[in-house]
Amino acid sequence: MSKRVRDLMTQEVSVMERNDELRLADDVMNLGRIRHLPIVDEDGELVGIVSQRDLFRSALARALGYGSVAQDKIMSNLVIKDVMTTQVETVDADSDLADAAHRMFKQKIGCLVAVEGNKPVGILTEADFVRYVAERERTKGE
Amino acid sequence: MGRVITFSQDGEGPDLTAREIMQPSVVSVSPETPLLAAHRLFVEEEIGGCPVVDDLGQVAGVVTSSDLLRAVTDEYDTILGAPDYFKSSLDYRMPNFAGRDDDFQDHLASRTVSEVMTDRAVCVDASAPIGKVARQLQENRIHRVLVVDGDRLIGIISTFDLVALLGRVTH
Repeated sequence: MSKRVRDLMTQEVSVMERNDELRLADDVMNLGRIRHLPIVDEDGELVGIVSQRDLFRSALARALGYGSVAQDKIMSNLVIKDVMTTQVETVDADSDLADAAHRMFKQKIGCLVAVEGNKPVGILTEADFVRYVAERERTKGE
Repeated sequence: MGRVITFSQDGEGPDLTAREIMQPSVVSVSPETPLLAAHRLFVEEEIGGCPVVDDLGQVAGVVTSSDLLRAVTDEYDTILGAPDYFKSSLDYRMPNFAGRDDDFQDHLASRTVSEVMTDRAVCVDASAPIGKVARQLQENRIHRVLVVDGDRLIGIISTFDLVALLGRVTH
């Protein structure tokens, strides 16, 4: 039986809200060692996503030419909705895993947010595939 | 290459090896390469780093955009822990380069890769089973691993190559 996205995705997905401070998102990503953060509205519905690359580009675009103290001040005034991407790559949690992997590889997508309706229920990233191959081989008694 | 790699999701069948899933043509520099040339290579190839290979084809280390930045900046407080080479997104607290454009190029032209590279590189042998490759990626928290045959660099494997396995993508 073919695996589904649900079988591999990370189910404990960290999310934040669009009016949260950008610096908080940065802390969450660094502490949680995650590179993608789905963003939800007050009803828990998916409205966007922030990646580490977004943080970098945003900070750079706004702060180039300023010293590091000014950079921090600028960063502290920004909220997530100022920089998030609203076009989120999503996938149905019950769809075929191989199809999802194929799509990620061909389109060079690093992260798919698994949704039920419009609510995030999991996240599928490259790290999940690495974990799968690492653990599959371990159970073979290598 | 055009070969279809058969990866069995249920774990049966022969193990695939690093050699079978790697990308065989690898962009690399030598320890003597000037930093400016390395920088231009990264821009042209749209990469964040590459292996450093000596004239025997042996791996001497890796060099990344982060290493280049560190060479020309005074205040660079990014914590570099375990090898994070080829990291696709730099710490956003980038140093201020405004007014430093001339210095940047001068610095990069006068120094070589050997001065800034990391002389450790995570490598796997070409015959390593893919499970071992995956564990190296996991344990070292990196996104690419070098493939060697004896001492010689012959390829590179990224996390995306493992994604491709489950996606039944032709290699």
